[in-house]
Amino acid sequence: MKSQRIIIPVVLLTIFLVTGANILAALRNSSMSGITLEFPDTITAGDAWTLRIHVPAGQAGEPVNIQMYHGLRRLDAELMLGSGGVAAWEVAAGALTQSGMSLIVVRYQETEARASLTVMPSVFTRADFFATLNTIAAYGDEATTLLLLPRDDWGNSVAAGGFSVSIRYPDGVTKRLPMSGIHGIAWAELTSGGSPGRIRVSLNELRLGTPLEIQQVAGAAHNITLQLASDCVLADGRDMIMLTAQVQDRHGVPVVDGTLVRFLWDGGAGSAITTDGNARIRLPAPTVHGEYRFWAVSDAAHSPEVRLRVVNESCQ
Amino acid sequence: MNGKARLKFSLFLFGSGLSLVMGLAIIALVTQFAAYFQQGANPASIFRGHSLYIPHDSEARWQISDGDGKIPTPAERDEIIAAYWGAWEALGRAAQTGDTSDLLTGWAGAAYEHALAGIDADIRLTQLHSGHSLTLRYLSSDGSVVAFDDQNFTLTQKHEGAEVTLSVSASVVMTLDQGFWRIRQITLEYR
Repeated sequence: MKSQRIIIPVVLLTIFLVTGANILAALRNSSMSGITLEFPDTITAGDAWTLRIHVPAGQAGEPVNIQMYHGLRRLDAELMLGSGGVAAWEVAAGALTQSGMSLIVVRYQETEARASLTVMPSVFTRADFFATLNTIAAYGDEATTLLLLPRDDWGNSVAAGGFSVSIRYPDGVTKRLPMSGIHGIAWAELTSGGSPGRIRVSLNELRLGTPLEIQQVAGAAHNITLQLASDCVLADGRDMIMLTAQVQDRHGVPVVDGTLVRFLWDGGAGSAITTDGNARIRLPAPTVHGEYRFWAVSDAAHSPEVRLRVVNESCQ
Repeated sequence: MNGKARLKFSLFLFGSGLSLVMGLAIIALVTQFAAYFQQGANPASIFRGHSLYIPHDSEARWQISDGDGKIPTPAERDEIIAAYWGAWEALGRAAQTGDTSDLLTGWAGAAYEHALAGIDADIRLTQLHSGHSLTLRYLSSDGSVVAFDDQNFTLTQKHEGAEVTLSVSASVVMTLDQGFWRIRQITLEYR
């Protein structure tokens, strides 16, 4: 009795496992509909492959319909069963190019079988490689995000883990920067370093046509030196005065071209933009004698005042 | 005299017929000429596919997840999901009509090539989609590149009376390109 108590559950468990395994095996390559499908588990995008269909109840000459949902495509085919209810769908190289998981639906009369085919992307051969900012402030003051969209020859995105970039700063300093990645996209934060100039960025895993270049420019205005062409003019209304502002960042480097400088004086204002760190403005000289103050402002920087004397007789 | 009168009458009939035909031709040409100068740019063609339709929750919605990179603002989430929905709508219209001119509004790069390859000039099918469930995976710091997963949405295709409903998941990369979010990379998994 005791042995029976052990044997019966063991036998039942064995039957359950064997049956389950058989059902799973049947599901792997076919369906419970009586249609058996044989094909590779996985193919690489662009590969040629063959789907073998076996319909035990089928007669030679009867049609089977195939629909395949593959990426954004739908492929339709109709095959005639051969003797023994067998048919083969030959898919040529280059026909299935979209990676992912495709669905195969085979219909014979009222029965249907569904199965999945995994299509792996081909090897990584090309990429979109770009930065969110192509111009950043130098000296480590600003950062840009490098972005990589890697893909294969068929345009499929590929796993983007393990990429890295080589950085060369304007001062000659080099470093290797690992990229974070998920499927289809990789990214890295690149912080500026050293003086203004070009940062060259190249992807280590693929030789792209041209390395990415990030322009590193001077920082915000920090020092302004204001100069007057002459500190004294006659009040005859025939002179022009020229104000020149030399604008530098906190490292003494001329600010980037196009920085706006505002010139102010008692009762008036004007503005100009910098070229090579210099901004200039020309004004008609005052016609009333006296002493006039001028100063310049850019970002948060202020220049010291400069003074212009306007006299009736002589500047001597 | 009889013969002369008959000849005159015949000439009259012929001339009348010719005048009528020429008159109608002239009227048609003048009408076309006038109509040509009455036509401006077609607003429908200018704004085709560019409407900001934010899909209903049952159509598409974001799952609560911040992903890596920048945390999107509610407006950015709306823009992205609207563009993603619009891209699938454009694909459906192309599948139904065969007109692929609208695809570039929502698709770009390799994804556009794939979408274009999926439109069969000989097969017209109705494609419906719903139940998009988007999980953000990455948004770039400048808000111009986004990666997300779309889990188990429903794709229904109707063709010649037959209807197939598919459960699909997608891994998507979209880029903000000249003011429009476009699908740049997409990997689909049918279940």
